[in-house]
Amino acid sequence: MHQFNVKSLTFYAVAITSVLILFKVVTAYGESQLKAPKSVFGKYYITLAENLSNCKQNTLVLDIQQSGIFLNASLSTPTNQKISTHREKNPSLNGKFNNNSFSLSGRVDNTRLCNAIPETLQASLVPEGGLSGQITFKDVPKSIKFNAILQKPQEQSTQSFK
Amino acid sequence: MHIVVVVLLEILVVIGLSRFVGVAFRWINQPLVIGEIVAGIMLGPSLLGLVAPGFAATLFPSEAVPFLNMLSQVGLIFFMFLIGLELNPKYLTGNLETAILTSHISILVPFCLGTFLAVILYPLVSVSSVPFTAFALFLGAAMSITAFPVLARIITENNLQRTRLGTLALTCAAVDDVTAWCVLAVAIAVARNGSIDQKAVLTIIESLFYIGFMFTVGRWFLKRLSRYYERAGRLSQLTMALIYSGVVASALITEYIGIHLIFGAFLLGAVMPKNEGLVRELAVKTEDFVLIFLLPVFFAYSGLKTQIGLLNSPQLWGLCLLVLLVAIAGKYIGTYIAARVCGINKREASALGWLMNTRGLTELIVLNIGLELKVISPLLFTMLVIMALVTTFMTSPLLELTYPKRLIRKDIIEPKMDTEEINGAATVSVSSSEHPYRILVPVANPSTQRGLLHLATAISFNRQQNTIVNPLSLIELPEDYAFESTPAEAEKMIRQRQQELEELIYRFDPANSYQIQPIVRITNNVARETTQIAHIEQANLILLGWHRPAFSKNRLGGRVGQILSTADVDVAVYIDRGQQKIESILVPFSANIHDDLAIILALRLLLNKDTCTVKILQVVTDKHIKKELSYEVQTLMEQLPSSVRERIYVETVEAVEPIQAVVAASEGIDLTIAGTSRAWGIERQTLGRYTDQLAIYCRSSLLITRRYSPVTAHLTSVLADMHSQVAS
Repeated sequence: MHQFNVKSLTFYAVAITSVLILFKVVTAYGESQLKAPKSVFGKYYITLAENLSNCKQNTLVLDIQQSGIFLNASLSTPTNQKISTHREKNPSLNGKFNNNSFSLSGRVDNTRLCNAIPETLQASLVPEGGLSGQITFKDVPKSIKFNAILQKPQEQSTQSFK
Repeated sequence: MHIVVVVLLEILVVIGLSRFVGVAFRWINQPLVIGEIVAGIMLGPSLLGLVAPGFAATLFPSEAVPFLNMLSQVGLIFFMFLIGLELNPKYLTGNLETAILTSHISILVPFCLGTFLAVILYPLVSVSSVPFTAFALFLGAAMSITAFPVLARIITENNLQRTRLGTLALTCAAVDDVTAWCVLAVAIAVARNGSIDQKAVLTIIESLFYIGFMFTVGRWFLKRLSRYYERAGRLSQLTMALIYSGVVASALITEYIGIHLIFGAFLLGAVMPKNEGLVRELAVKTEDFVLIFLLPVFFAYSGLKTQIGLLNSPQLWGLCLLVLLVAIAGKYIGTYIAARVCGINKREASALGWLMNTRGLTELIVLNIGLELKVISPLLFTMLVIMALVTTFMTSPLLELTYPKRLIRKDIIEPKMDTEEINGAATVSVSSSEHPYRILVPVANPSTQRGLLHLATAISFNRQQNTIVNPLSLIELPEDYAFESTPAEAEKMIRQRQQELEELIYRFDPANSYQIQPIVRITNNVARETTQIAHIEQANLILLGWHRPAFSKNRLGGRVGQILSTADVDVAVYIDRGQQKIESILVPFSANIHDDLAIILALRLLLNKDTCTVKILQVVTDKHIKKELSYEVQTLMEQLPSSVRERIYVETVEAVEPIQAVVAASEGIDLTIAGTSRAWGIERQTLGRYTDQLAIYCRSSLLITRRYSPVTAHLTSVLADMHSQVAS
């Protein structure tokens, strides 16, 4: 019995220690080699570089929800932002984040900029924490550049349902 | 004020939906809590938000969420307290070495796999602000959890708590649970501090110190409380106030230390001295409000954060599948190998593996903490929630597949039964039957069903044959998730009932009590369990009392009707009118197989008792149509010895209304036995309801028979024995 106890104790000690070592090795590898994408989470105020024809408005709000490299986002205009809290926020755009830049595409039903519907969006992170990129609109031949500033980082835990 | 109204409305919806979905899941034999978790998810963006976003946003505005959070945290604290209370060192009984080895491996393997999975997932679903160490630790902890509360209830419902497998599973799960909480504590400490650095180590040391404190000083204090309780006999409100304050205080302390609130509450529950009365009263007083009101709010709050809509590409579903596979593989394979190494057979090891795979509720708690600390993102959170649900969902069906009920019976540790069976077998000569003639008698209230038992013994006991009467007492657990459904409590109820029954049997018939062997089981569906047991035990007959109708007038309704409809053995329903003796028997005859069974049972009664007489009444409505006794009955009657045959009278009566004729004939008779046939107004209608015309009017006690098997052994076995004995 005593012998068995010593044997089993050593077994457990060895097992646990080896798992701990394995964990340490893997985390060391992970910390050094593995890179997770940066956080682009939050609300961005987009200012278009040039206005659309006959259009005074040139601001949009981009709300990005991030899960690693998978992005879900929704576009809205600042005015209807306050009114309809839910419809706009249904993330209708999605895309992948790759090396500090990403492209989003999808259906944007309820947001128009002077009757122009946004279609796709490409952007990259700029060092100051904003974005810069270009948007294409439906039926508008060329894409329009923009800059965006991060409005406020949203709390992930209160992101219950919008 | 407005926001309070909204929150209360939400609670109303949450409670209602939780109960509804919970019951639906019960119906498909799944744990109630899983239904409640699904109800919570349904209220979130995964279903309600998708189908009716406007309504969902009105019902769950973002301003109300902090209130829900508050309620769910309180619910969680007290729920963890209840879990700690349930954790009884009694579960760490035998098989300790096996249990320790199995539980160790069943944590280490999933943990390692989780770490490797983290390597794959980190670049995909995490962000750089989350350190890899914390991420890997969380994922490892999430993979290695086994939900002890849910598992304990699954074990109780399957009546496994007395088997080797059940006790082993419980011990392993208890050890697993506690270890996983410890890993989680470390994970939290690391996540809050960024890495395993000084501060985290300090947190861990502080926690250990606190645990030690609770187990020594805290325990001492609580022991005094327990002694006070024993003197007082009940829990006063002051004591409850002290205990609840203790729970909250302990939770605050652990939160301050740096590990989560829930640990303090859990710890207090765990160190509470397991004085049975104290623990039970405390649990019963606390659980109703927590389980019905607060816990569903937690599930709803968690469900609001579960967005199945996020999994919107095949790649993401593929990742989800990977997570699921890793989780299942880690637990199942780890447990299986460890169990096999300890010498447990393949079937049990496999069943143990599936049992340990249950992650359910505990996993949800861990995931919510991870999400709160932002270690995992909503996408990964959703994937892991799906994993938790699927793994728990799998358990019951897979358990039934690998370890079906009939095998469970053989593993039950019942030493007392063995000695009695040996005595019984010695005094009764067993000639031909491999298994004895068996009657299953469901007794709801043993003291009032003496007549039933009397009839059962009259039908079964036969000098030539080995017979057994099994009074079956099924304990329905009052609630699905209460303290009383934990294995220890369930065991106690079973033993109590068993003792009651055995006393009753001894008083009823001391000479033959060895042939009356009670079966006591836990169930949540009496009819289903009865038919299953009849099937497993290969009973020849189920003998029931009649249904005492609460709303309808039907004596063959309710469970009686269900058993009549679904059992795959012969069934007889006894409507007792208080006759003490069973000597003169009437059998109305209308040439269908159920009536044949009636005749056969009557003949058996005749055989067993020399003073019985049987009158077979043929009721003829049309002069020209005279039905013959069936071939089977005729052959049987020919095989009877003449001393028996001369006690059978066959009478023919002409009447327009067969029922009235039988009623008239039943005057002065001890027992009428009739089959379920239209002639007597007892037949199966659509939806399985049985009408009970004859039962209402019959003057004597009535036995209604419903035949199932084309070949009945009620008489044939006895006759065969008799003939072989005569021959020899």
